[in-house]
Amino acid sequence: MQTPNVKVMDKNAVLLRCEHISKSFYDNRVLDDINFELREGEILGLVGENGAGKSTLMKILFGMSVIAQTGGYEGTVYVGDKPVKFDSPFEALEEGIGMVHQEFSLIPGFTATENILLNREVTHHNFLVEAFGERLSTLNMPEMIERGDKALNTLGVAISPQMLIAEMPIGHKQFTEIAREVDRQNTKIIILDEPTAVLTETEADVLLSSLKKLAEKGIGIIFISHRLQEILEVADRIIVLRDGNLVKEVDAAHADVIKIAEWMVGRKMDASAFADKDVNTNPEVLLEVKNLWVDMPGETVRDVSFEVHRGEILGIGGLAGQGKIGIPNGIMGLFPAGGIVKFRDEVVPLNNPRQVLNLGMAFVSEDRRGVGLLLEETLDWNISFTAVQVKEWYVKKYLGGLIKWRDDAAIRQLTSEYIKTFDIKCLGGHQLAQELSGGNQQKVCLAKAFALKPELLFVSEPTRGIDVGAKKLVLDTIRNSNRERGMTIVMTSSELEELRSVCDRIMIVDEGRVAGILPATAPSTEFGLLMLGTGETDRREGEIHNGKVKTK
Amino acid sequence: MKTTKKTSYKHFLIAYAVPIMFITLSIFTIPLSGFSPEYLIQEMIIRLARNSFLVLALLIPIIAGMGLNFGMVLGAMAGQIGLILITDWNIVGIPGMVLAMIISIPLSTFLGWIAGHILNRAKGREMVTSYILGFFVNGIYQFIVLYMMGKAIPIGNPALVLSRGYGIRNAINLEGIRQTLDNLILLKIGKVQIPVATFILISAFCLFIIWFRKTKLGQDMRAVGQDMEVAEAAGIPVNRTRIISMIISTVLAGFGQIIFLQNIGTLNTYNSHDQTGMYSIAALLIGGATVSHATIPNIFLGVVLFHLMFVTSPMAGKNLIGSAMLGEYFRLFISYGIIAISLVLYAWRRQKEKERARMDLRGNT
Amino acid sequence: MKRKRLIVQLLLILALVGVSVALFVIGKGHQLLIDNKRATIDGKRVEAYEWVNVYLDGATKPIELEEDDRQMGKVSGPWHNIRIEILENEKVVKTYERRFTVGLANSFILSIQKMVAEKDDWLTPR
Repeated sequence: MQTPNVKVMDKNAVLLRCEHISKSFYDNRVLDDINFELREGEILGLVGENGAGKSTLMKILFGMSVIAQTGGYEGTVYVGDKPVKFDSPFEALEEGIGMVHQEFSLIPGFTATENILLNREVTHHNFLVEAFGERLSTLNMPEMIERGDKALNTLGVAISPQMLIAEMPIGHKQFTEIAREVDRQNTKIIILDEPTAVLTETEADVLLSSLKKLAEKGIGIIFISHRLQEILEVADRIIVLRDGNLVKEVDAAHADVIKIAEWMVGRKMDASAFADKDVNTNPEVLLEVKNLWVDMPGETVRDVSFEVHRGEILGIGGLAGQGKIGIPNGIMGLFPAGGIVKFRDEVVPLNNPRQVLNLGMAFVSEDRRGVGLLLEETLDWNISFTAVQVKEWYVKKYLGGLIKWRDDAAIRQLTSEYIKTFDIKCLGGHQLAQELSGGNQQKVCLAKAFALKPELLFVSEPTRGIDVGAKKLVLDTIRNSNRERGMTIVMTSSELEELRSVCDRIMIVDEGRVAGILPATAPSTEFGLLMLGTGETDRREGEIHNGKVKTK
Repeated sequence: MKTTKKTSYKHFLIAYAVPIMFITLSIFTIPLSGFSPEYLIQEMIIRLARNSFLVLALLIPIIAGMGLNFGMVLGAMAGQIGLILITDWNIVGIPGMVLAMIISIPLSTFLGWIAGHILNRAKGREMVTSYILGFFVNGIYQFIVLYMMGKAIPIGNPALVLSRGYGIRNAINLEGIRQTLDNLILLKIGKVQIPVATFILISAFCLFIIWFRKTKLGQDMRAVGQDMEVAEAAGIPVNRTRIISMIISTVLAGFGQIIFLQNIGTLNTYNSHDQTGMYSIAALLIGGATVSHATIPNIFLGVVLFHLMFVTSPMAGKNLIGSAMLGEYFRLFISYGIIAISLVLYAWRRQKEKERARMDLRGNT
Repeated sequence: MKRKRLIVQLLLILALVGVSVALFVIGKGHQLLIDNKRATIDGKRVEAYEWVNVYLDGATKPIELEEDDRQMGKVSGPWHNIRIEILENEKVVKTYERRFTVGLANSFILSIQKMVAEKDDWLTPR
């Protein structure tokens, strides 16, 4: 009853059809003319890099409110033969589309059963219902447990329906979440967004086989994962998104990991944008990081060790949520961290931003509008702020330092200097930071960090949310300050090509650990495989060394 | 994570830090006070009967994740208005008590509804918001009782009205209902008297809460209490659920105040509700409850421990230092201090738990 | 369904109001001012008794009235029972018992002499 009826397998029955789906966030086109179909009992693998448009597509299918708030989308979604347009996830659920999110939407103090049947509880009628409404009916726990057990059994996992979520290993939580969709009587389509990201390998295997079981019952599944092996194992068909375009639709039988990686990454900008690839060869270690862990929500760093050489640009890459952003935030003391960090052989006190700044490190945060800028203050203030606060530069002292006075003239001079060198488009140092465009704001952030004259600069996602022309300028600025001023830079970015164009070496972070460090000249497929691999890194590295994976 | 015997022992100590602290304190104050065991037992039974219902009223908002709720003071005021009216009408005995409760229901419902709406706009800051709201509604209560009663609301009994012709006197003798519930069924064991009827009512309330948790509404409240966003995503009307929990709590607090005052026998028109919220919350916290989790045993343990301190510490202080004034000071000091300490300990515990969770993130260090 | 619920809710509210009225009536407290005083009944003078014990609603402890005395008794609700013992020289010479109802007034004057004579105005609201 609870699971959809096992119908005669009809591979031709189309459950979901997307026609000409396009979506722009303001001027940024993130999906362009996407067409695909999902059939009954089919598992469709959806792959793509970060920002390729996967999550936007899923948000459209699930009727997330963010889509409508940003101006809706173009094209039509059909469920069966019926064109639909969802205003809320509840409408999508009505039509039989269930979604399992990356973050768990489970209640920790509830049992598996209670979560599976959340707000769909089986109830007993009692006389109070007549007076006070349905909500005073009592729960029929035995039947609920039966149903929860049935849903879990459909997935083929042995989880007690009476186990508390808080006491479950992470894999069981994922199954509970899927079981919730299974229990819904009308569920025809289940969308899974990176369901295996948090699972161990054996758990992931069980999950994959339960997905196959579900598909056998006629449910259509859209499976998003960056673990290409899994996609190949479980999917019937694979579609690849790149930069908002559907670049490839292929039977899983005709694909392999390397081909998919190539489709995903494409061949864009394979040659470095910078001609002077004079790689930094100074072996002097400026920063040494050992067993660093950082508790940054969504970007947890588990165990990371690496060295930064004086005068180089080290890139940190990896997929979103894998911990690359956590590394600079942890070292700079913005999030609780542990481990050993040595700067010029001196132990850096963690969780103490001021000390770190005093040592000669600076940080351009990825959170430009939150941490990076004082939006309602002038550029003068923004650029000089940290220098005034931390270094007490541009401060006039009277009475032996008892009274400190801001040296506005010096600050203005400093600002105009940076406005000139960074080519910040503005009306002058008196303009408010919030009035600038994203690219220019980013330059102000860089200027603010540079004003500290740091020996080591962390730059986090410097080109996020700014347009192409501004990107180049920001990257040039970073590159030049390294080559001309000799500043050592650690740059974090989600865009691999950007890292390859600027950095000397690139470290790839996966699941909070270092997956590998390669010179920037290594082919992009090798980076791609490091990013995508989990638990298979060693094997793949072996392959790379054996020359099997070399492209061209 | 593996829990060895040592860590689970430590975990227990952390989880029950507040009750353990108070049991330890009581071990010192009981002999110092010089009270006889019979006296203390009788006193604890009286206070359990008097206060448990009020403290129980705090439980439902905690289930719904609204924290320790000073909004119960609103219910107390509604209950007192009921009592003033029945005293004026000269309705006595159990019928009088029940009638006061019935009168308080619409008032409490209305006040609880308002409080629920306001607290929905102050999610996460319920405790301080409801505390201030209590002061605000106290103003309205005083306006009604001090100016409206005797003018807009006819009060016939001259014993209730101030000599100027309107407004209620500062102290009202509740002789018509004094201890009628307590004395309805009185069981004597040795020298100790047990007000059985009151305890039957309290047990009924406990059963109600146990039953309520098993209803759909109770389940929704638990869900809302643990994770509002998840509950919202599942289609549970979060705001409405929270308002309902406030209404139930306020109505029950009104009943609780009536039970409390029938035992005391005198209504201090302008002060009786003042300490209601404070003492109830202090008792609950001492029982080992937290802002987010409370059980029925917490309540009874808390009431006993709090009032044990309450009764013994002034005498202990007097016998120790020789000042009776110290007693009054000590009482206030204790109840405010308890709330502060419990909240700090709660925050500290959460910090510890977070740290423990974070241990898993570490690599090989 | 909605309609049914509305009806049930209305009935409940009505029941609550009904219960309230009932509580008001059965819980209403009354003062009885009991007189043991000389009275004039049908033009005849009836003297006060030497000593009267009054038991209201089956109380075990009597209200004691001397000659020319007035004492207050408290009762609640509409239906009551009164029993008196008239004593002379500390011996009961006569007992008298009757049931009576009171209205919603707060206090009444009860004349023992008129009651014994079975007059209608033995109990008058004050």
